[in-house]
Amino acid sequence: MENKHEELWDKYWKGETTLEEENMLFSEVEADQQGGSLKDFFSGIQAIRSEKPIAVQLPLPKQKYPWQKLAAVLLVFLTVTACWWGYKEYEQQQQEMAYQQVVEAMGKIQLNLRKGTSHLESMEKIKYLNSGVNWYDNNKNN
Amino acid sequence: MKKILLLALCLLPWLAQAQTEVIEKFYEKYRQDERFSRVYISPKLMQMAGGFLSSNADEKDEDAENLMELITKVKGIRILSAEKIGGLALFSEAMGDLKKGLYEELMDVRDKESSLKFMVREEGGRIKELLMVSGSTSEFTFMSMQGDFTYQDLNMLSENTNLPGMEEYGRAKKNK
Repeated sequence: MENKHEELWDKYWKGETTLEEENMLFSEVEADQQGGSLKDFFSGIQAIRSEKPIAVQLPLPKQKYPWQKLAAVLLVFLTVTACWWGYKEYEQQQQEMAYQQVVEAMGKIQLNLRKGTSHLESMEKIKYLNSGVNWYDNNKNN
Repeated sequence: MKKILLLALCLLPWLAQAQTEVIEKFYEKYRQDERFSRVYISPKLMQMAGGFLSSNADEKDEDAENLMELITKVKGIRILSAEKIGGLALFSEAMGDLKKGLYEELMDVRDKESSLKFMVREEGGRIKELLMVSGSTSEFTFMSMQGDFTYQDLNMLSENTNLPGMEEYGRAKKNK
């Protein structure tokens, strides 16, 4: 009987007792005239148990201004815009360089083609001269 | 006769390739020579140049339109040029390397100090390649323009078009 009693106490201190077992122990201590500190302990627990919970209104954390989020979004937007603009600028430069090279090449062809055609233009002048001579000859014969 | 024609047709692409190789060889031969400058305008660069012209030219600029049309027809340009060099000897060398079979002579201008020759490679009545070889006592230029264009396009280039940006380019080059 005594062993069972001690086992129950051991179980209690390990926190393994059921509510019924705890009530049994509490009644024992209550009935014991020399309960001492255990009696105080149990009456303290009983007092805590009987207390009703108080609803405490904790202050809510202050809502931070979303400027940091805005700044982050703005930064990302500006970075993306700058990158896009830089790429466009680079592309434009590359296109301009390509165009200059093409124009230079075409210019060379044009210049040399004109060299040839300018010789033909001189021939055209001779042709007109010949027609003048023919006209003179025809008039002379008439 | 049919067999001979068929054989000739089969050999035509091979001959064209052989000719291109001759040009390549000529380019390669003078690759290490610092007196030469080499320019290759790739199809991608042609496309970029077209993009630049279309986004910068006025809508009603006829010269720009003509040039744009030509640019879209040109696939690539290869230029090998040199200054302060005996260009007449190089001209003869280039002409010797080029077999005349595939290239038709378009223009030949010669005087005491310079020689200039334009040659074309035609396929189905359209120009697939324009070769320009010019040599003088002090300069040499070998240019190959590949694409799919007509004589009208060349005529437009030589007669009607003031190349947009050419004046600005000339000025920039002078200032260098």
